[in-house]
Amino acid sequence: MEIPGAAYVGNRSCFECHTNYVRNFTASPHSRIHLSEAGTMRGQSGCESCHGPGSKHIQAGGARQFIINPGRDAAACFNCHLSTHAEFSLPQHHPVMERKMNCVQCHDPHGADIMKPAGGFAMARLNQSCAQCHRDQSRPFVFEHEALREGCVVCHSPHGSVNAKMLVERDNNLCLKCHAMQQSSGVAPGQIYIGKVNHTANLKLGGCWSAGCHTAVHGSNFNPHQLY
Amino acid sequence: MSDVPSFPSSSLFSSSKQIWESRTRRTGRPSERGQPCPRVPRSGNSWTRLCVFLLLFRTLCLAAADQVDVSTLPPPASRHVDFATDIKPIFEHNCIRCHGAVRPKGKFRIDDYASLLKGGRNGPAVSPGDSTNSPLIQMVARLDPDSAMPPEDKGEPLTMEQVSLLRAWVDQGAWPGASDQREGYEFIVSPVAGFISVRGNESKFREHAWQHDGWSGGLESFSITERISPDSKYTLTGRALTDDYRAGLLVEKQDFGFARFGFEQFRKYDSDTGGWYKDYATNSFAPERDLYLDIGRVWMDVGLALPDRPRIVLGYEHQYRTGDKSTLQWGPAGNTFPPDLNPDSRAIVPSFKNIDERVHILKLDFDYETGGWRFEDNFRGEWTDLRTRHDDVTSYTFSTPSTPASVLAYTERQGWRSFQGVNTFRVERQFKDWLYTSAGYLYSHLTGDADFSLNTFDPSGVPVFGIFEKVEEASRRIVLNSESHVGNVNAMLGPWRGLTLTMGVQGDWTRQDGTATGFFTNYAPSLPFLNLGGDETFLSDLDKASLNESASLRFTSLPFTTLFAEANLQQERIRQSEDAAYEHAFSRDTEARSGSWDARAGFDTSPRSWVKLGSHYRWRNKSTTYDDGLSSGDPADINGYPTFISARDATTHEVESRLTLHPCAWLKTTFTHRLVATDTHVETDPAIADDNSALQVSPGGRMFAGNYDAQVFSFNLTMTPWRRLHWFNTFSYQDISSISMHERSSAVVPYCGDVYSINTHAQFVLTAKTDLNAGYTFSRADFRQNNFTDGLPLGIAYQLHGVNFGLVSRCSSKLTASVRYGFYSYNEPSSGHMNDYTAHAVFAMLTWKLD
Repeated sequence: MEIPGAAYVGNRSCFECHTNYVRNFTASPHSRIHLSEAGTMRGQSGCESCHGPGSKHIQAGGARQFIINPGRDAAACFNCHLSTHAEFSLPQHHPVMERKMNCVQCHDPHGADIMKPAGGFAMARLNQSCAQCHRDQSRPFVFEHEALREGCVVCHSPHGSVNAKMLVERDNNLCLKCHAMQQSSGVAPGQIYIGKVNHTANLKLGGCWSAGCHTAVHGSNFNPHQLY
Repeated sequence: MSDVPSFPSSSLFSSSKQIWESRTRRTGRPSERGQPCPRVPRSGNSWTRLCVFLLLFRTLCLAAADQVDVSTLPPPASRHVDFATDIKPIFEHNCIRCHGAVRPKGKFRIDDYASLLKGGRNGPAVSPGDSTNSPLIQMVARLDPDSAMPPEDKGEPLTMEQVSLLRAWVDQGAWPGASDQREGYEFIVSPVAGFISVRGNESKFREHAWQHDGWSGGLESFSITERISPDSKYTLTGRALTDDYRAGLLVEKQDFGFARFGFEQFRKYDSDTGGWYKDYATNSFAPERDLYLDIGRVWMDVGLALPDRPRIVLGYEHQYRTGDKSTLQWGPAGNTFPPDLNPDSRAIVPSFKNIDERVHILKLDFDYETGGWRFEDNFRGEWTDLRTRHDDVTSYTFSTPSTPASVLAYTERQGWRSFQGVNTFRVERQFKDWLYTSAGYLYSHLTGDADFSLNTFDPSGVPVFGIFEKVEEASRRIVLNSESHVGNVNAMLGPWRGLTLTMGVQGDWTRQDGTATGFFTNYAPSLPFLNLGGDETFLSDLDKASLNESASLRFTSLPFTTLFAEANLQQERIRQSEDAAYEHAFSRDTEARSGSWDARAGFDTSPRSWVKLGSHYRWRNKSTTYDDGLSSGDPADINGYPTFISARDATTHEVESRLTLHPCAWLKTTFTHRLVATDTHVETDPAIADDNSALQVSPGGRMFAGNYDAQVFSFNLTMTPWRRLHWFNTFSYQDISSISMHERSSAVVPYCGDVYSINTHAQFVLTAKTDLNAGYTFSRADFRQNNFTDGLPLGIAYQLHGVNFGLVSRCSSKLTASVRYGFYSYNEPSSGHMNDYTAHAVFAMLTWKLD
């Protein structure tokens, strides 16, 4: 990250104006990278590793054109998060590369919990980031799908995926990690019972949710088996 | 320059103006031209250390002395001084870092002429025509060591020549000069026009590119900034493209408040080919519906930001999502109905859902910092109105391949209306340099009601007995309530000898209940003998309590190194009861108890300026036990999922390493590697077949349920081999394997494959006015499965290429022109090439700047 004519000045200079961010930055996962010291790699730690060298920004009295705002352009994040950059380039992805979304809508880069969408020195609640937009899936249901207790990311790869709807997997392997059951010796070879029902023919038809059966995967108001 | 006239204790006895006037009467010796103003030893921070008596005594002494040696001031320059060429550079180089537009010290801004004349917290700093009595001149000439500017640790003193110029400018009237009249005005607009030609599956291109094919254009960006008074300005920014809009207006008045208005909308496209797989049906079927969802919001915030007063923001926001999206509820393609009795049926026919979601949000934010305490309160009231309609076919026949006919169709409608009020209160306090604490409380209450209907028809629209063994099922009375209390306490201690400890505890209690009443009917005109039906009632209660604890340690005393260790623990208890009184009775009363660990430890070091290395190990485990109160232990009594799962646990091991090399100024490279391995185990009770009470289908017990293994290698190379060329490259490779305990079944084969990704971008400065850009993106995945006979191969295989070239010409300082060409190719063998496309895109853009 370069800002023409600017030099690195260190976190202490940022503290004078951006007190709220710097004061508890040590609690942030981003502070796992080492702090600036003489002799270490410049621009790889602290505020300036994401916001670029700050000398011109300070010299100009906080002028925004002389500092990088990763909230507007994720390129700063991709300098370190290489595999995330790759995920956003997969066919199914949230539109961060298209600049319709940005990283800080879901993540708090300065706070104690990176999974929290807004600032603060507290832990995120489950699925808090996703629920901001995906109300239809995260709202309460009469019959909830307990998978949501594990978090949306158990089934979805939120940055990007090769699979439709950004699923981690596109087939029944996804469901069977929880809905597994030892088959008795009395069950014919090749048959698969899930619960008390023989699902062999259903599994051949397609995915648990795509084959037209358990379509209400996020919860149902009218069917305890999440059929609709 | 901090705290222009900053004498807090003196203000107890005299106004700031009197103090400045008193200082102008001190005497001293003039300094030589061209030399820095002499530094005078400061009494420095003694002000804060002395007791009230000493402060009073000192102030009285100053007042008694009542003298400032103005004779030490250098004489004013004898020539005409221009603000833009002589004065402004002095301010920009020496003063503006502390007295700029953002949080100016002493409320004194020097970044524009009007603010400069207005002065700061303690009054005007410049008296036009009288440099001797202008506080600004006395401070930069360092007549008083306590108010000398810039402070010793903030910059070098001004030279005598610079002070002379400043004196001359003030004496000549302190005029702004013609060049400053339009300061603060800027207008930038970038009109763009282009055309995208797609050959092949156009909807798949739109889905991937988030962009429509054909002609498009508009304003790629626009920005207008204008200062409407010395301390207020407005900024209008946004874009206006064919299917992508954003406009934001910010009007702000310094030390008073602001108003924000905005609107944005973009379109999400979906392809309409479902899970089509050529080996199960002809490729001639292609609905090619243009599915898209418009996602947008309108917002309006009004805020008060008075100095030393609470910051209050009142806002309203309207969010909406309207349109159609594809679903993963595909219809079966087979020759007979029902499909589950036909071994040739596979669910691959595309389907979609219509969505109309509207949300109104009222928000009130309060933020106040006083006496070292910071209080923050945020309220959100959300009114949601959501309606969905999903039309699906239960089967297609292919007697005539080019004209498939649906056998049956069903329509599912759902509605949801709710109000949710959420209030969050937070307080923070830095008690000591080494102790920072915060506490918070969140209360949320949701009340909602829903409706639901499901109807099945034959192709002519006549209600019939459908896939879910009903003709109609509906409810117009579904009520849901939810209430949550969340509290947390956090503390950060240190650093102490390089050690910082952060701790937090968060408790979360949620109670939720839901009821639904409705009916179902099996009557259909075509099936008069099946005049069946009945009422249905569903109840559910959920009571959840969880406690999270977190702790993290940072140790930075080792040279060039940070060591860290973190742990997050959670204990959760969920009491859940469900009761369904309908044709298939269902009930449960389950208490789930879970405990989870998420621990991580690692290091990050940079022993030389050209190398940096970091690595960490992470271990996650979540174990849950389910106690079903309704289970008698008899396998025949157990209802099924999830009540007969008695335990489940998932354990993940993760190792991530990173090496960054920066051997020279023009080359930087980073390697990362991440290894993730997750194993899942499930324990169940014994189970008897639903349709055969003599058949025990499971003996129960604990078993390996599945695992997920992934390795991700990533590599970045950023080069500037010579000044004209900047080249950024990222390569990533993922090797993924996911299997379940049924991996030997031909219906559920392992989901394994790899993904390659390349992102490269180069910028070449051809001439002083012309840049060339080129980029290439590539991704390739192969998750093909070989289960054609006994399953549906859902594994995807594709290659995606994107190449683009661009030319940017800076025609003048005000005008930039650019053209861009892109070529995109997508090839997906796993769908029988149903989704393939190639696309060419050409865009031209102008950027015009006026200031």
